[in-house]
Amino acid sequence: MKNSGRIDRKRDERIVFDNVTLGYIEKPVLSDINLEIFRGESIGIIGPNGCGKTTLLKSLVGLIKPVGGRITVFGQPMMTARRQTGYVPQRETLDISYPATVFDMVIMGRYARIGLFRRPKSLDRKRAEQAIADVGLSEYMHVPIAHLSGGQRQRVLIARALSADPEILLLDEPTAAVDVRAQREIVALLKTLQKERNLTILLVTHDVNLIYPMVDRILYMADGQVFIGTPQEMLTQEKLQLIYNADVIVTEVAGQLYVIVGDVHHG
Amino acid sequence: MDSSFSQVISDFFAFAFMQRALLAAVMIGILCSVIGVFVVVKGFSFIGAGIAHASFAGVTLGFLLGVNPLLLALLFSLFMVFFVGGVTRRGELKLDISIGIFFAFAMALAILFIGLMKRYQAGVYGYLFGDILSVTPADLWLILSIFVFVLTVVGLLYKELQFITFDQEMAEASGLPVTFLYYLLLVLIALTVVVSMKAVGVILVFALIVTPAAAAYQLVHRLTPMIFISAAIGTGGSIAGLILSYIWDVPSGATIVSLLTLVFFICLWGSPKRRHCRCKE
Repeated sequence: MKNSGRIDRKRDERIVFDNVTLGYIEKPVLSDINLEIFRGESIGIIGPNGCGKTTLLKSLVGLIKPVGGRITVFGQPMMTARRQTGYVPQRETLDISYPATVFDMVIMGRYARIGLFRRPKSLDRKRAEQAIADVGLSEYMHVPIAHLSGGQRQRVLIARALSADPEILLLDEPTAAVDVRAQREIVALLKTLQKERNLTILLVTHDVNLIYPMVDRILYMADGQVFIGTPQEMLTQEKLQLIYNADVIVTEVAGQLYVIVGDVHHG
Repeated sequence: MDSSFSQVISDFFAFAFMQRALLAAVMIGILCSVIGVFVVVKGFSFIGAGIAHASFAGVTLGFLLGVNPLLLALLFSLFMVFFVGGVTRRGELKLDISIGIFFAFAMALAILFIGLMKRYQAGVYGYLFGDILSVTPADLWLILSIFVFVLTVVGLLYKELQFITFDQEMAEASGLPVTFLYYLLLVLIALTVVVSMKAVGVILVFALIVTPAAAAYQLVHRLTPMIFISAAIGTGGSIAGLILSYIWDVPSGATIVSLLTLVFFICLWGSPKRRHCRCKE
């Protein structure tokens, strides 16, 4: 099952992890991983806490550098290509006490593109406004970020990543700690964005049920290793019991798989 | 009353040393309150206090060796910036621990250097408590050059400084040269502290940096207006404090800082942010 998936595409259409080790040499978080992700694919990343999901995402924007191996993004070294990548961190990292409106925060996503010593131009402002419109927050454009709800803050984080016109979108638990309605809205938004822009999406989550309808493949991480496959391949009772180290039921309702995790025999 | 007040103001502007003090107060008021905005939003208040105390160790060594105290103050504060900034960025020590250690060490050095002086040096205490009335034309030129340099850098790299003070990790992920910007901000803080030290003193300089920015933070939700309001509070407070200290014949640095603290509490009391919090509750 390891690293199964499509391989009949051009080399420059892939994100490639070639024998990559992340973490510390003495204590790697992920060891010698080999992985290919294709342009336009949507990948759901699951695994227990501390297995290296965030580390994997951060390695694609240069926040964590590999201690071994090589990462290439669409044929370019990762550090060169990272401006094509939009990163949406976990929502708790957002400092809502900072004096900034939604627009102020979203246009920051363009600052690296604009370059040092230069001011944002009207194109940059338009891109930021468009990104805010894309996530459905136009009416909150000039609202302070401190006044937003949890779901709205998550959308602003996505808008900031989108404002840089990325080809790849990395999202770290975008549906965590928001209400069910906001979760569904965020997933619907990501589906739309992927369809309209042919974005390559890597999404870390603990909620398999939520992301299952939108992902092409699921990446499972554990014990420093990664395994990837289609949802049908990965979402089996045996594999999920290993992933969650708990009783799991996989059931199908109206043509969609649902995973129930917990002490299901005594529920 | 009016005529006596006019007389006092007229006397105030008649003296060259008062004119220099006023110019210094305006420049330092603007400089400290602009850089203070980045200090407040980045949560660098403690590191700034550490820089001020490191600078004082440099001042005392300068007096001991007969070298320009401001030069050594700058060297000590830059050493502190790169030491504390380095160990914190590498994750070797938490920021508060590294500053706490260096803060106390710098003061210990300052006390040692004072103890080693063969004769009483009144100038040292001028740097400790500040003496804006003793600002010389040479001091004014130094203040002006640092004023122009720091504000030019802030103007040119405003958006980058905004991004790293808001979300340093995301700024790095987006491809900005975050390490350079991080140390640059610390160097700007160090320059501001060193150049303001003679006017308001080591103990009070950080109030001049933090208080106007903290007051402005209570009033607005955006960084740019916060900078302008902070500069207005810092400059207004410095000028008013200087005039009041002249009228009442009390120390100018302490008057300026007391006035700014009063303004801060008024801003806190009238803060729309507090009203918003209360409404949410």
